[in-house]
Amino acid sequence: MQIAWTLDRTRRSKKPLRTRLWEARYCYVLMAPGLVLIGMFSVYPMIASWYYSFFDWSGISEAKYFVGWQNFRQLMHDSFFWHAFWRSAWFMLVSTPLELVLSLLVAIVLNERALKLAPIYRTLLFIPVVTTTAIVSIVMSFVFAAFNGPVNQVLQGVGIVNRPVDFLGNHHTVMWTAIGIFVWKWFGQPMIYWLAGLQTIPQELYEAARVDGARWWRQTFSITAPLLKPFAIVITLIVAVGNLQVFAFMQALTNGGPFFSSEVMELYIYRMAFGASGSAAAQRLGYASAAGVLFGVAVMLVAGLQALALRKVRAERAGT
Amino acid sequence: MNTPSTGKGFLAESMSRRTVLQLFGAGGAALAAAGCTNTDEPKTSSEPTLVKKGKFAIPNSGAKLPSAKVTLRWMDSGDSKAYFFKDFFPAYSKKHPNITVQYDGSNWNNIQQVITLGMRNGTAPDVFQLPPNITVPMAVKNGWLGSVDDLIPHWQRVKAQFPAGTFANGVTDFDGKTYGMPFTSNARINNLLLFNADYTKKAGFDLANKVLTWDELREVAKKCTKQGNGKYYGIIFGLNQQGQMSGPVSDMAQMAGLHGGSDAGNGIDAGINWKTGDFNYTDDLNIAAIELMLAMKSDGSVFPGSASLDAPGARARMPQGVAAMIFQGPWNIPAWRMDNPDFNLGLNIPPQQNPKKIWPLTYGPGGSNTWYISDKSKLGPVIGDIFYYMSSSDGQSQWAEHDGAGDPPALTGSLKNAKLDSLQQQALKLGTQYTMIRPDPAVRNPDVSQAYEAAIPVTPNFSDTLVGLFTGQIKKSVPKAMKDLQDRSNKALDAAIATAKKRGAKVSRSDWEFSDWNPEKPYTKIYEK
Repeated sequence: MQIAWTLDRTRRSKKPLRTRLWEARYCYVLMAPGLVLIGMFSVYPMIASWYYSFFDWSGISEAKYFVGWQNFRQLMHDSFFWHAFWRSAWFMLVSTPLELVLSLLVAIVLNERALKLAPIYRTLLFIPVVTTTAIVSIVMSFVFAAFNGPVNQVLQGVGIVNRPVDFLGNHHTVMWTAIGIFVWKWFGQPMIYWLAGLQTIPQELYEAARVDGARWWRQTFSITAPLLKPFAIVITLIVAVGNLQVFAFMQALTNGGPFFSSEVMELYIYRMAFGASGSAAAQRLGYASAAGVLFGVAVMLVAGLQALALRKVRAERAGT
Repeated sequence: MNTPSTGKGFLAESMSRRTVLQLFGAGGAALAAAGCTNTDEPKTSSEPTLVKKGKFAIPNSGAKLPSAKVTLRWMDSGDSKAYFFKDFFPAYSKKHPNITVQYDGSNWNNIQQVITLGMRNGTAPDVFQLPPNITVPMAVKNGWLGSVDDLIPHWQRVKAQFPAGTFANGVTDFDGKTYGMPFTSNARINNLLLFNADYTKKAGFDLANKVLTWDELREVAKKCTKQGNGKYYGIIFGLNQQGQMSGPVSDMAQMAGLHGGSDAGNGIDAGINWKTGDFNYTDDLNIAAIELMLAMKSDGSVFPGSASLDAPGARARMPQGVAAMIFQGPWNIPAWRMDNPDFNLGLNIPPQQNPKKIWPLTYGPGGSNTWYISDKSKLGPVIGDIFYYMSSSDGQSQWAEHDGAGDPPALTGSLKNAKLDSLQQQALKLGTQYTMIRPDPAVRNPDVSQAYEAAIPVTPNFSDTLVGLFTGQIKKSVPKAMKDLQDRSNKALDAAIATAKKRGAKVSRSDWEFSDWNPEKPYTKIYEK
């Protein structure tokens, strides 16, 4: 009762802030544990990384040297940073539409009432999502191996290639292979989101459309697509941001190789922060923090654009 | 034809018998002296006394051990070291029932996380190995390490028995105190030519008794690949890991006369000629060794997929019969013997440009494994007692018996007390015959370590560049790629020196110059007490 009253915007706006906070105290108490955890594990590290980005610091030693904007200036001229940056963006731009379209198509098929085994297929398609990422990467490195890898054996068996393809050891193929495996592993997740969205669409609309003679395509474009639009924006945001966060997957699959050709932004930051060449000097937490800050700003821009799009759709719906 | 056992290498040509005796007999001599002291440590004699594996003669060192129940936490990188510790710690607890040792033989990623955080927040294990991201000077400066001087009974005598270069100022010792205990020796060849003797013999080569020339390596790889007909290849690498091609290239070039090699170490000065202080990357020998590797790739002799394999991946495939040769260290021998007893393994030194004139491989001071004590540890006497045993003749002999050629004990004289198979004996023999201690700038001038800490590593480094050339991602010719690397390395080292100077260090480029260094002789003068 109290909470319902609090959420009433018209009445709430007439009371002073202190009163409104006090009246909503139960909400804040219930939110507190989550807020504390977010503060500790998200907000604090974020603020700390902004702070450290202005230092020349290994992350270990007590000795920290303030260098102002030097780390950011160096990053602007670091070709490995920009290559990793664009590689991450490219990974996201290619994998996101693939994942979204594939998962939507599968979700539409699985949403068909006529498909009796839908729950079984749904489970099978979802299994890769819950499988440990590192395990998937390691298994896939065997599946796509140049020597005796099953994929190469099939390709050679049917005569598509004469010599084995080193999918993960060739700079022309490594990113495409990684994207393919990644989409296969994760498309089950948006599929579930799409299914949830599809199930909110009243069946009566389809029945009425069928009575009017609308075929499957017409139903999809005129009923399903418009009603899924708000879901689509949220799902796209979740998938796109998720596709920028591929550290464990790429680390176990390629470790950024060969010769940095699959080094995405997170692997670059890791290499800078914790060192890969085995020497103490390779550890540059300040520099890595600066790279993380720039990348974080880019991710926030993507999320911000999508939030704007979502607001626009909501406004349109409210208008109609 | 030349074989390592004929003694026609640099040892016979340029190293005096006296020097050899000084180096490898130092341990035995000191141990003999140790026999006169008042402990119940087993006496040593000139005749080898074979130890029985697992029968540890743990002496009463005189350390004041606790009477309450205590647990000592010990963390290192496991591997073959775990063979020893998993046997030794239960035996130690049997002798001292109130002392339990919690041994964690882990991987380096884990060590990096646990030790880095543990040292900062005071929860590090009592004994550990330092991860490569933390330098010893940095750890000492920050007060994270405890010294062993007051913990190990009869410390001065114990320390004196180790060969010159085992302990060095700026490496294990700081301000007159010792912080690191290198129980294992650096005197090993990390890039031996390991081969499948069945394949190479079938191809008509006796690699065990003949040191290959560079041209012959290419020929063997080509013939084995042809013979394998798609089932196996001439040579395998694990190029998705640092040092897997640069290591063999560096060793081959160094043994051909490239003093200091081109990848001898991890730091910003890996690949320096210690005599001149210049980088070696543009040297003709280095370029020729790289071109040999690339030629084997052009021949189709390299295992497909080498670019995406890491070192463990490559060495796991070797006993499965997918390749005839691999460059790897002797630590593979016990593991392969255990897991693949039917694998007909052979080994020899890396191929030589000129087998009649073989230059030594050089190594830095310290050991291949060094253990440190947490400054926060309250179990100093227990650690001292264990370190005392590990420094003893029996401890070192048991180490040799358990770890063999992979991690030879620091007191090389103890090897004669261990019963090792012929391959391990050969690997150890080649290690002592073809390796030699080199100068180290941080020992002569401890301020050099500040330049190491200020250094921004070159990217791509030597190892990366070779992978880039191998995969075709670097389109430049080898000489141009090496010129580029040389320029970047010089710039990075100069910048590191400038930064260190700004921070108060007294360091200059001349610190990397040792004009009195003779690469054919052990450089011990800066390590002598």
